[in-house]
Amino acid sequence: MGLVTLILLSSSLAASSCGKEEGGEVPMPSGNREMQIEVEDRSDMDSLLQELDRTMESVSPEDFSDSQLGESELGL
Amino acid sequence: MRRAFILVGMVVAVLAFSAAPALAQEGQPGTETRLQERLQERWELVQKRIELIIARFNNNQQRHQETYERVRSTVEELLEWARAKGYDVSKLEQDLNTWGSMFAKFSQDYQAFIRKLEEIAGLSPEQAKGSFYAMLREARRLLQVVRQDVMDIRLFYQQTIRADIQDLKEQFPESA
Repeated sequence: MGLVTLILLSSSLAASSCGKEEGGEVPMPSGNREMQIEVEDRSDMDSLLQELDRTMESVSPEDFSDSQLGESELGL
Repeated sequence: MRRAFILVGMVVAVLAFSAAPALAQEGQPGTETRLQERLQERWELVQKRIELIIARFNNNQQRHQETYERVRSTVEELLEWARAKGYDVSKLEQDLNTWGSMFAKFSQDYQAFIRKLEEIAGLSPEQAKGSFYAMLREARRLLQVVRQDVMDIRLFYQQTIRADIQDLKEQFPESA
């Protein structure tokens, strides 16, 4: 029972991904691809952290920036 | 003195000529209707823009919510695995709960923001003339709250959740 499979379903990351794919064993979440990370020991936590970082970076506070409610956006 | 009379006469003449068309226009019954029509068309354009903006924000909000839930779900699975292996996961567990309450705040604040935009889009042209800019200011304030929520969620992940996971690596439970 030393195995837990962590599945990240990355169905909606394509539109927002930052394009920071760096290669390696864990693929960049994109499109409708399904990605699996298997944590068997503590060294796998690094891969997991990297993937979590990428996922968190795929969304930005700028998606809710003031400029989206600017006068030009509103056609004023 | 004679020059002064001539100058005053010229000014009066100019004013009379320039005011005449405006006075004549004011009397025309169609002018007011045309102005109303123009106002209506312009407002409809703004309403359509607001609806597009709402759709875009909804898409962004959904993307954020799904991303946060996906990360939280993954961390929860890690937590359960680590607990079973004998790691002390109490801090991570507590921080995950705090993080979850931040998602709830984000969702609530976002709903308040969108309700305000929908309220603006539902104004009649006459209502918009009186209250559009005040309501837009309020919508912008609510948007800032939403943006701050997103920044807080991101920062909490970077400074707390991530640190908790790294701390797990420093533990050496017997069964691990």
